[in-house]
Amino acid sequence: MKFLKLLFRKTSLLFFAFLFVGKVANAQLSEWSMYNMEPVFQSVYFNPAAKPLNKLSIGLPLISSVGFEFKHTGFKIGDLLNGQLLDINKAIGSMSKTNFISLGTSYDLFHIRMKVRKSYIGFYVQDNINFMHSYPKEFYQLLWEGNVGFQNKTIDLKKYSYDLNYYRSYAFHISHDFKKLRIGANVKYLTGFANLHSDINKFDLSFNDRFETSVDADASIYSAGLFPNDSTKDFDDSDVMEDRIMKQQTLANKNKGFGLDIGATYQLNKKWEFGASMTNLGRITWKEETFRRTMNGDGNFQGFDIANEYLKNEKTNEKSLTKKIENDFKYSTGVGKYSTWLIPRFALQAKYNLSKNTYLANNLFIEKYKTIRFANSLAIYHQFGRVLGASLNATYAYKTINNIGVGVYLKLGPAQLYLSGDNLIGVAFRSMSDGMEINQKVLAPVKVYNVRLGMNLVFGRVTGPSTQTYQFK
Amino acid sequence: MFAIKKLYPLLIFTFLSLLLVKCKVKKEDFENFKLPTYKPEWGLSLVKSDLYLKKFLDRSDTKLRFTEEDGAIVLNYYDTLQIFESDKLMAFKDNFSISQGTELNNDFVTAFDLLPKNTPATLPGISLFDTVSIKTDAPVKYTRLKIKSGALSLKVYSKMKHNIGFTVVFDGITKGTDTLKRTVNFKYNKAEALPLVIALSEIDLSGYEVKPRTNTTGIPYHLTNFSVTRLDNDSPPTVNSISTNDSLSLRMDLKNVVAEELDIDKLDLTVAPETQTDTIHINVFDNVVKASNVRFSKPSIEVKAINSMPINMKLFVNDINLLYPNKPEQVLHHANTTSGTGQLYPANILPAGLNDFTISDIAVVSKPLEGAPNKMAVSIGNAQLSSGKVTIRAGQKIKLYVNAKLPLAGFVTELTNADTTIQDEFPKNDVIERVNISIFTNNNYPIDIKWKVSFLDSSNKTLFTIPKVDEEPYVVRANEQNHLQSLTITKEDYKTYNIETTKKIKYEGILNTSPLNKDIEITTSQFCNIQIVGKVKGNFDLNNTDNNFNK
Repeated sequence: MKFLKLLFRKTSLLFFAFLFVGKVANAQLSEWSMYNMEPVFQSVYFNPAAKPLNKLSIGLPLISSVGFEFKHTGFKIGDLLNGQLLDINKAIGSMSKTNFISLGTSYDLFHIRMKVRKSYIGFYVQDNINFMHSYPKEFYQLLWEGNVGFQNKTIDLKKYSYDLNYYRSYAFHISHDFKKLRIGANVKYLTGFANLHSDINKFDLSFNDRFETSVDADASIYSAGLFPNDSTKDFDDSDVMEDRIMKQQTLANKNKGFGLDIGATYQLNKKWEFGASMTNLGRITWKEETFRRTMNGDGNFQGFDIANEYLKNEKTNEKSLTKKIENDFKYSTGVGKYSTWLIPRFALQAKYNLSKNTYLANNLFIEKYKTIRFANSLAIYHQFGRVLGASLNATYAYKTINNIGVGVYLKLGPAQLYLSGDNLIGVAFRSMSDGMEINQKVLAPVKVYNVRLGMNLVFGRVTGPSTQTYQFK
Repeated sequence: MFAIKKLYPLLIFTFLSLLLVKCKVKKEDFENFKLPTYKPEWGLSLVKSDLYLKKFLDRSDTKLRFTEEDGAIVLNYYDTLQIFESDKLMAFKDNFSISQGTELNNDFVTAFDLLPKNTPATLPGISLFDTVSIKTDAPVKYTRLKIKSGALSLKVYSKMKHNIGFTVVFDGITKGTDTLKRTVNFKYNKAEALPLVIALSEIDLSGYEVKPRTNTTGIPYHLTNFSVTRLDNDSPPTVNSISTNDSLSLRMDLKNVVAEELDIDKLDLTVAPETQTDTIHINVFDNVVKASNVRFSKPSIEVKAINSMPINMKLFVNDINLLYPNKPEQVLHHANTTSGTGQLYPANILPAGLNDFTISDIAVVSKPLEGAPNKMAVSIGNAQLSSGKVTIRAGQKIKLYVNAKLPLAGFVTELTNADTTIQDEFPKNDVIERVNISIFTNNNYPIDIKWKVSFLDSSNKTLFTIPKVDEEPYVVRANEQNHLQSLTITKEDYKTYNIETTKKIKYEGILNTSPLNKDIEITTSQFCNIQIVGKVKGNFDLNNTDNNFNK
């Protein structure tokens, strides 16, 4: 118990420390359905304490795991698509105060995991590519509706951001059973290939009751591995980008970082089991081909001062006004290393064993990208014989509840085929009821959609004493 | 049953896989999307300006200052008119030069004839005296002239066919106890053409004093210390002998001589001022009140003189006139109107003091500044300078300082102030739904302000005005606070008046004292602020971006 207390204390500190980390940029796909797919090796990405069924698991390049994710916290697809009309008014109306949209993919290059006595040790290599855009609702509201609705208001654009990342994880995995307690960890060496992100410390856009406009800004754009390391040049030349990214894909790459995933499960009794995990802790320091452009200052436009213009015999026009506003800010361009944090994720699980083959679980997920967001997933898992396991889950996230996800694996000899995804079932069943079509109606409630599939080679069955519900006896 | 139980996992997996794989995307649901009409409404503070007259007048112009007197703003125009300066009495033409010859006298010829041939000898007790005239440009006789800087170059000429040396002594040019002198030696080689010439090195005259002979302008000098060798080439005697017709002469060139002091016994001179009529540019009126009707009720003009010369001067300011761009000049002061005014009798000892010379009779001019003058002319007559024995030093001057004071007290009628802002682009007709304009004014002046905003095209043709031509003018009354005037430019107005072609916006304020034509006083605390706020509602068809998006 002392160990548990210590573990709880340390992990709590980590948890809160990462909640307040500002500069987070590198995401890993957040797949709620995969959390319940413990027999599949890839579930350790989300819960390092996941207990496998096989003594040896091997993943071959590309075929072992490919995942794709779309996520938008702002509005549902159906809010935007209204027949042939892009209903921007409805889409903006459906946005939360702060939103983000992300697109990402990750794929495994290799993995191996084996059982050594009461432990499992493994090694895997995974690539992650993701793009995220965070925005306050008011930003697009301003663009679409104009500023008349913003009299005497300040639009805080601190949480407006773009993040583009491409990095690779080389990770060692270890998990161990301590009677009722099982802990696991992934220690990751990260190498970054490309990064582009904005970092806005402050960007306040204000309008008073007479539409005098003021801006108070301190914002930067960082890039690494995308553009020439030349402070005199601007962000351009997309042809060069691909070449540069390819050049970064070596171990000699100086964009290095470390990451850590930790997790634990504790079986209270035969019925109840609890688990927690913190994944994606860590950061990358970018050194290769870095580029930074910063703007700070404050400026305002209250109207042409015709009296002063008259006195000074000046004639202001749009160009001179624009120049004046530009001159209110200081600009600097520079190079040099910088760091970005991974987006930390936390999960808490309570599991109730209905039978030896079935359990119910409630998973609470927490993530922070610009703001803290929660998701709660109710899942049921059933082990169908020796060769099939499946989970079904319903997740409440981003103000939607109809995220019906599924995870299923099938073991045919040494080949372990698996498929998992959030909203997979929801979309599939709506499609089925609509003539197997993927149309607007089918996608209307979707804010999140992800899928991961692949084939692992698994060998040897774990036959020892087990605390897991679906373990074969 | 056992077989089915074994197979059902496979069946479930197959079912789920088929379910996912068989789904087909209905492409037409995701193609040819149309964007809704973009109808933003943007507000912008177009103009925000505080019209403090104090700020208006506070310019970096050395000739215009404003002061406060009992809270009222007073315009002060300053100008300095140069009447006379001592340098005019001390001026020498550059490269003044003079050739001065001295013929040999009988004593010299007689003594020379007694000398043996080809034997060096001296002629003691023989000197040749003469004077050279160094005059100033001005017709002034001086008894002493001290030179601050300058140079004298000297060439000496000999018409004697013998070797001869002597010293030129400038008796009238001294520095302390030293008298300026130079020695020359001629050697005749029996074949040279006469005269023989020797050029001496340039003499720095700094610090030398020049004293002409009493009651003359001639500076005395003499040649002395003669040493000669009578050469043996007297045959025939007419060819190589000397006579009283032979000469020794000097050419003197003065360069860049600047005098420091001049002693004169008496001066009686009439000089013309550098400019007999000088003008003071009243530049604040150039733009402000041109072609408007303005009256200043309490103007005054003060003229002061400083005479730093120890010379009596008699000077007349003939008259002071206001000049107008569009009407005849107006006389503020004329010497004849008040007997004796305008004469200066400065002290004749150094340093001369400040001499007040205040024009006090401007009250005889009715409404002196009505109609926006842009210049004030001060006409000055010849100055009469007189003195007894006195020393004049460089840099001494007689100047007039003119200060026109214009307290901003009076009235204005239809005084127009205008400024124009340039608009590179104006929204196109077909994307404007409506424009709302609000004009907020706080008027702390005792003046009614009529506002007018005009939209002009590239050729300055008025397209549209606020208020419209047929509407009552927008008037913000004197001392009226929180005045709000709003209007809407409809889509139809925008098209009808072709406002999209606007290139300039002209803002005009037309001022009238209230009540009309009654004198009011402008104080530093009075101001007017104006803010013009515009709201534009647009209507863009984003599906036709080629035509509309840039509008």
